Amino acid sequence: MEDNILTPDLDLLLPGDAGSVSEARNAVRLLAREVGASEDDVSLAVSEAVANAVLHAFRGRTAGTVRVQAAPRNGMLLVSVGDDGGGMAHNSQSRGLGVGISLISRLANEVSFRSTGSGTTVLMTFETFGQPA
Amino acid sequence: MTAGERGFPPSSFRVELSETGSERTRVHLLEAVGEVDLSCADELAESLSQFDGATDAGVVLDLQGVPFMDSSGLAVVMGAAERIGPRFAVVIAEGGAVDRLFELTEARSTLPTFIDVGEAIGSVGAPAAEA
Repeated sequence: MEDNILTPDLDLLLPGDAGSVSEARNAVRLLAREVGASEDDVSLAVSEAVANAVLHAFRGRTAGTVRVQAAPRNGMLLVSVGDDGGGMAHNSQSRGLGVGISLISRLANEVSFRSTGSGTTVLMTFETFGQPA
Repeated sequence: MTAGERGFPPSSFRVELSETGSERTRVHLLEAVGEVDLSCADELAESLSQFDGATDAGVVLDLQGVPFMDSSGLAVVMGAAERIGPRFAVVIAEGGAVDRLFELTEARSTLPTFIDVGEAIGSVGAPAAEA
């Protein structure tokens, strides 16, 4: 699976704050609708991925940015959510249920995580079912 | 788009509070409207926190007006259920995105979940000792 999406239909660079969760979700939801992917599943997965980045990537440092890219490829919708934070680390102070990654794994047909000291990228693929009526 | 710009308006979310039932079967009804995610989960938590440890009345959280919720919102609802206790119930729209979240996380097994407000009110309206 590719780590980045070349020539994405959607490319958002957002601040690493809570307001970016709905921003990213609504933008990707529109693309999911256009390509016939499950809007509910894509929206939830993107929301979880961006929320994870906002909550975990910038702890102990100035909030950076979250990049959301998406594109249809070969009958699938590819969505990438990346941040320029400090990489994946357990956060015992998290406000969530700790089910974000588990949810993403259940919602996407395929998912991969790449984490380095300069950020984390989640790449998800979703099945499309043709153009909606 | 560069960081800092907003292509979509932020989600608008609100909670409307009302009361129903008689003095002995009083129920606080909280109707949530709008999408729930990390940006407004605290607002929902604040609305629910006023009923922590409620013993004099039931509490029903109606999520039928919530077209989307992620695990940030679900964490708030589960926390409230734990703090409020047995006189708490949740109403969701059958087949909606919240229903999907509940299914994926098996939340229905721990949260008293209804698809009808009247049934939810009936389930929490009677004082525990007489239920």
